[in-house]
Amino acid sequence: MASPPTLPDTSAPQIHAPDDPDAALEHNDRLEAIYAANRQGLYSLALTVCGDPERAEDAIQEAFARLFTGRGRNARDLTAYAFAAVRNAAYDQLRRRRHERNEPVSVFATTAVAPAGGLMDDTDDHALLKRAVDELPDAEREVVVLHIYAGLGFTRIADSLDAPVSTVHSRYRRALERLRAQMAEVMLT
Amino acid sequence: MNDLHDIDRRLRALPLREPAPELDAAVHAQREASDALLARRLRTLPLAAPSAGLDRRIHAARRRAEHPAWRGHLLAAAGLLAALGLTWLGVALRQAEAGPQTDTAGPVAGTGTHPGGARPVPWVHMVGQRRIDQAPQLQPHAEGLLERRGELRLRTIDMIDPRTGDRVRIEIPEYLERQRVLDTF
Repeated sequence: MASPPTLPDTSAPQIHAPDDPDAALEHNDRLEAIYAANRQGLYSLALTVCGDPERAEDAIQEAFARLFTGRGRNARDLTAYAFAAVRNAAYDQLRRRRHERNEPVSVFATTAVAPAGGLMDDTDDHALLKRAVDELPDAEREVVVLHIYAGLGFTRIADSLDAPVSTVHSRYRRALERLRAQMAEVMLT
Repeated sequence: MNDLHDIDRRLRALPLREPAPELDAAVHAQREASDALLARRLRTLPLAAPSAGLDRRIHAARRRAEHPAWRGHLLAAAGLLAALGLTWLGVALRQAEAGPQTDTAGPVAGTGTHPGGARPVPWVHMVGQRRIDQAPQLQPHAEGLLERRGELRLRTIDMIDPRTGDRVRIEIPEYLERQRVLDTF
């Protein structure tokens, strides 16, 4: 995993409206709904950043623990803010354990491997594609995970990554080109 | 050589047919379709799923945020203080009802024996049964020699009770400091 890119500072205290218990509950209800709707996407994002299932879950818990205290209450897009918070927490996890040199875990589930020497079947194809995604540069893999697996639009991804939409779009396009090229190369050899 | 350059220049000068304007759109559409196809294939890949425990952890995080632990700790501390206060009040009331304490044990008589009985008792027991505020102001008079009783080496201290003038002999285990014994009285 490379060094983390510039992140939006979601840990900084936000300017809140005066404490209103109803508003706090409403905010937390929205967060729970966002979590329920994006559970898999949030996990895949955290996993692709820190490369460890336990740390990924720790990162999500840490991020939501902060969000439940009122962080992001004034955010324009709470879903994008939640993704940004999880991403930041995942990079924090990565930094905290940077001395541990464990092999990063794939965002994909492990499945049975096809018999060697056979013709390319679906399982081989999947395995190649998985490896190709795992080997994408971090910034491009994040965009692919957020768009394909978390189902976020490019504007929302841009908000989460604190990057221009055009940058997000070009990262996605470059990632697809890279995947296509890698797959074609493997199929030809 | 000059001829080749001349041919090259003339070839470049020839007017070419331009592609149809629709070609750009067609190429773009083809690329979009290819991207969509790849995205569809990517979506079919099985993802690693979070554990069931994550949901519980998120709910717990919300509970903790809405009911911070320090509130519980504060309540527990207040309860403990209240219980201690009530206990102290109860003890104080009982003491007030019982009236002023008197030294019912009286001056220690005999040599290292229980007051009112001939049964030898360890020194610690003898001190322990007398409250400090009831103990007579014993003055050290003379210090006896060490003697051995079984496995225990004992030191004897003779004292005078200024209130009654009685002589009191105390036996202490050797390992207890003499000053500590006197301080205790």
